[in-house]
Amino acid sequence: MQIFEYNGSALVAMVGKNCFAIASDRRLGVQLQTIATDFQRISKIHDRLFLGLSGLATDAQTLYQRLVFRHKLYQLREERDMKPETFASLVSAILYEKRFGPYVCQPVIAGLGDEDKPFICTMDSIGAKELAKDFVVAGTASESLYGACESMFKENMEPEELFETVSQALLASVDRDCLSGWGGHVYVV
Amino acid sequence: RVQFTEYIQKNVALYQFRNGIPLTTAAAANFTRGELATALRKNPYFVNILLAGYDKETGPSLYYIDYIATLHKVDKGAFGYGSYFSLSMMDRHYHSGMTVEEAIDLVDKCIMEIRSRLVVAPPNFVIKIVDKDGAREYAWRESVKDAAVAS
Repeated sequence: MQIFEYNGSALVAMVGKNCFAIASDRRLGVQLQTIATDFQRISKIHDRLFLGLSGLATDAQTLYQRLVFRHKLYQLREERDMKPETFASLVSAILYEKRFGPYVCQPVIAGLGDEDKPFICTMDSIGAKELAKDFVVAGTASESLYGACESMFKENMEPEELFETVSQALLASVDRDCLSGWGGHVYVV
Repeated sequence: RVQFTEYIQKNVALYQFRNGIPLTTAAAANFTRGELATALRKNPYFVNILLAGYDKETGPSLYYIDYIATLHKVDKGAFGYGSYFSLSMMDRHYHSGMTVEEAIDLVDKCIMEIRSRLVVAPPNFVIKIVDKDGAREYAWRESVKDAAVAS
């Protein structure tokens, strides 16, 4: 029983022209059994920052609650929203705190920085950041997602085209992965 | 198992005393999940929970909480070996807005499936209903009458 593959998940984020898209599948399973087909993996941190958490659902929920708490504190102290780069560093630090008993999650962070410049990054379960200029993937379907995104991605896509591309890449990849699927949630900002 | 549920029960009651208003189902579910999650990395509880409640404003709700503290709001849920059969029966026959009679009928169908398909089928079942009038035991479905078995 692989701990990363206990619940099943697929997450992808892509960069477009002054916009980004983040998408996830909707299946919540317990190994081979599907429990629900409406599970939310992506959450809004603020209007221009979205966080997707793949991996073990319980750790994803705990981590999400901790991060929202930290962000709300930040908002109260600094009276503004966190920049995506800052948030990514925060997530990385929180994950590394548990270096020897980690949260079994791979976060995908997508946000719009200053001047609407899109920012995406992913990290492994102990906080190693992976910044990318085009797309990032996470979850049990990540290998097929890499292939699908690589072939479908184009620079500077407009939001409508970006939405199409992300949806098709996600659907194609989860079709080949039995642990993720049952539709997708796509957020385009 | 009994230890944990009693612990949760007493804490929910405590909240009611302290704050004067009873906990909503969602809040109770999140509290339970929090307790399970905190214990997870030290001394995990091996309890799977289906938490059902009725709130005046939001109506009935059902929460699925498994032993590693995964929380999800669902319309239908099942645990254990019988879940494979029950979930499929429910997928086929469930629709939102069912009446109590239809729901009992569906539960009976699931029980029949479990009885016929499961090798280690338990002989007796209890059905409980939660609605605006509270939680109550509705019926027993017994095939072994001398229930001297410790539950």
